[in-house]
Amino acid sequence: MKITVNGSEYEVDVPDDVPLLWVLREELGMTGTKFGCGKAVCGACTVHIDGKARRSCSFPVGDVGDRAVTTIEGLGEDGALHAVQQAWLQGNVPQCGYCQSGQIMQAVTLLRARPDPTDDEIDAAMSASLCRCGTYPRIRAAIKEAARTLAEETNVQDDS
Amino acid sequence: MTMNRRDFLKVSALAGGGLLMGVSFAGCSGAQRRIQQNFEATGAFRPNMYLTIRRDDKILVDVEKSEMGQGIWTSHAMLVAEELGVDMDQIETSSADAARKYQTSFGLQQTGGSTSAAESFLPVRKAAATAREMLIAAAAAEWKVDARECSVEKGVVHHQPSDRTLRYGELAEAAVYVEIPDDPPLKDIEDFEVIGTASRRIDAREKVDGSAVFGIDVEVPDKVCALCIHPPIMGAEANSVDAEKARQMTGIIDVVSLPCGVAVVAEKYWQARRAAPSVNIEWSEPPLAELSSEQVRKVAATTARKEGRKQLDDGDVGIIDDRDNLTVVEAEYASPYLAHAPMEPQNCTVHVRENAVEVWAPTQSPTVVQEAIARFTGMARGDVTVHVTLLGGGFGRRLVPDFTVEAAMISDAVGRPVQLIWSREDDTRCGYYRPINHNALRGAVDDDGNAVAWRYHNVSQTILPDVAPTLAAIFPEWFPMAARRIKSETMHGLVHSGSLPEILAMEGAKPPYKIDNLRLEYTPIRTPMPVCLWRAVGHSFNGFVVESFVDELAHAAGADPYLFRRQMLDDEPELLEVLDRAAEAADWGEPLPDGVGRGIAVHESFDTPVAQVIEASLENGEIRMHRIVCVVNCGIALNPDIVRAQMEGGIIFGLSAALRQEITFTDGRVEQGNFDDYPMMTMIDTPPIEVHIIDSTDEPTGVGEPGLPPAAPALANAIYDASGVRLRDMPFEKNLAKLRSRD
Repeated sequence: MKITVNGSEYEVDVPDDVPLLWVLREELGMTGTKFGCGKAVCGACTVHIDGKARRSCSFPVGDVGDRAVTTIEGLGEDGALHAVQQAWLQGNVPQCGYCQSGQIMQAVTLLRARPDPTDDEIDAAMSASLCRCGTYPRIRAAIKEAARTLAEETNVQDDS
Repeated sequence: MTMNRRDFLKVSALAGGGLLMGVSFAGCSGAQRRIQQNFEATGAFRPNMYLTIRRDDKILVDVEKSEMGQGIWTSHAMLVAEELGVDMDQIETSSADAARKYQTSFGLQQTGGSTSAAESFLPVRKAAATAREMLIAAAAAEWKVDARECSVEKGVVHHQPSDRTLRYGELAEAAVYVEIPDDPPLKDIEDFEVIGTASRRIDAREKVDGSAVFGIDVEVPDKVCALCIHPPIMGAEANSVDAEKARQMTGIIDVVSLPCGVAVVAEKYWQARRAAPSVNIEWSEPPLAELSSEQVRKVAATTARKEGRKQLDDGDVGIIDDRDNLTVVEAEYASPYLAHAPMEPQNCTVHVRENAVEVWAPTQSPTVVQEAIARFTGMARGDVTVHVTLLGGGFGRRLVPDFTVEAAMISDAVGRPVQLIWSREDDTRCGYYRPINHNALRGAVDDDGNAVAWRYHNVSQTILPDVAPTLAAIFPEWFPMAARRIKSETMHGLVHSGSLPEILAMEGAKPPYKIDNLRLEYTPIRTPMPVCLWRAVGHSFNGFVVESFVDELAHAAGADPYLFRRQMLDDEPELLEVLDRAAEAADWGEPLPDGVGRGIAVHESFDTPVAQVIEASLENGEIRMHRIVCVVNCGIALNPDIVRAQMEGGIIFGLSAALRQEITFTDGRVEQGNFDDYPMMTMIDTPPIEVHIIDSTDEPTGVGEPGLPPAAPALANAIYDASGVRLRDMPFEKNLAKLRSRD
């Protein structure tokens, strides 16, 4: 079947019911998306499917169809980091780092839906993305930082 | 009780003839020759085992500690940047392979016990200072000037009188032939420019763009993938295996029976996962099938009410019953088995060849992995190469080499490099838990409100017997393997017979307070359920017990819990300082909204005192936290932002256990399997956390674990302050539900 990931189309030879996670990791060599629980309860495998945050460990590749998949590897444009990744760097967010791809993918969709999220909105959007190292306070701060950066970028675009 | 964990490990290492770390890189012509040979082979200047200077000016730092989130890559780089005089962005770090020269942690190459910063502070700086002096000498020789007229800055040697400079890269070749200095001067702590700054984590970039390589991401030519179907009860063996259908499935290479389960090997991991449900296995009934955690809990509780083995007996605790006019307080606390649940499930890639083994592992102890796989293959430890990957969390679980040996067995069976990945359920159910505990306390306060007696009986599953097999790795390699094994079994026996103090179960059990009549007792529980170290292990439950019970005494005395502690800490100025600072920062004594309470706790672990104040309430019967203040004294904070991160992480880890984590088993079957039934703190549970670091120029002490122990008691004390409900059983959410059903 054909699958579109990070703007490129790939031909993969796997049964329909294989979770997208393993297709990304093993067939396409994109290992930034992580295996944590295998049943959509931790968020480490979060990717975007047509812009929506989805748990790839429980998403059959056959259900992707012609929708566009974005992974952590394809989040930034032209090799630059996305504003959310940049905010993660500024805030020294990662510890072990294993869950952070999923956290970042989840946060990007939050900010698309809510460009200036409240604490409650951040909690609601992020509380199903687990981090055993306890980086939550930094994730919260980084999301707010990214929101500020993105707002400035939007303003600049509006002005020009 | 006179021996702490560190002393014990030191004695163990010395008993086995292990060498403690020497920090001189000078010396023998051998070292000089190696530097030259290395240059001939690589074209780079590698003055010692910690760093390499390339001709393109890149500084490569080999980190012998495992990076599992604690920031050791960054702090090693900072130590090097400081003494070598380079910018952080000139440095690249990587994990060092297992090697004898890195066995600097009590005879092991190991990361645990919050020792990384303390153990590296001197050697890594000395390594960089050695390189610096050699580069200066090379430049001085080139310029034919006095080396004392030269200094370093931003990766160059500068000769001030003539204002000439040479980059380190340009000096790399000449430096190779400079004599290694015996005692290079180190910077004074007061002159530090890099250490003590909140430098960006050196591993942050690869961890936000997805390129970081964890164990699960290892790619090796010709690699195959495996999972292991583990028995429903630990210790069971496969009596019969029907894998005919599975073998027909796409990509399946083999289905292999192992002592620990049945491995399904495939070209791709997804293929192994698809085939696994088609394997039918009949399992034997192991001894653990007779056991349930509820029985263990009950036995522990009954035992705790009796007298235990005396570990410390000062004064006369008999006064609790004999003296009049005392207010006697009795309480029992309990905490369950706990899994580590790192986000990256256990995994390992191994290639067993005829005469050598190559391992890629997210491990906290490469030496133990070498020892364990050498034992399995019958090879020498040196024949086992271990490449350490990034670790997706460790927390003590990755000190146990079980999963690496399992991977070696599968590779041995199929003759190819094998990547074994455990499922989340395997990770939760395959053992090595934080031990279960039951703790009985009696104490007394006199009419003046002073605590005069304290008696503590800790009953917990003893850890040392389960980790004893890994102790074989402490003994040096020139000990024959059989002798190493016998020695470790001797230690095992000593532990079993009670001849060695159970330092892990009793660490942090002695209250820091001045109480004249003090007795500590311990009784080990032994069960077939395997246990091991866990973030702050003994401190994780003893800190809870001690800091909850002192709070109960304070309330019995009608005293303010902060002032009550404070008046008993005259002999512990460092604890007093963090306690005072925490109370001040948390506005102790200021009014709070209705229904909100404050709890305080102070505990020293791994040479680091930490105090915390938590504000919490019960809302519709649910625990809700509003604010956490933490004060830590870890000596000089190598990177204050990483220290803060470790405190935040330790607190949240401790609160996950305090609130809702528990491993239980019925008839030997572990009842939890994934994050839905072994839940942790989430963002919504996490209140703002403020961390304050005491200014210090003392040598650094641990930060990975010390943030954890005060968190649970501070929360329990806050809930008592808020509601009058005293939470003595972890996990608290279950404790609360039980209390409610009793009402």
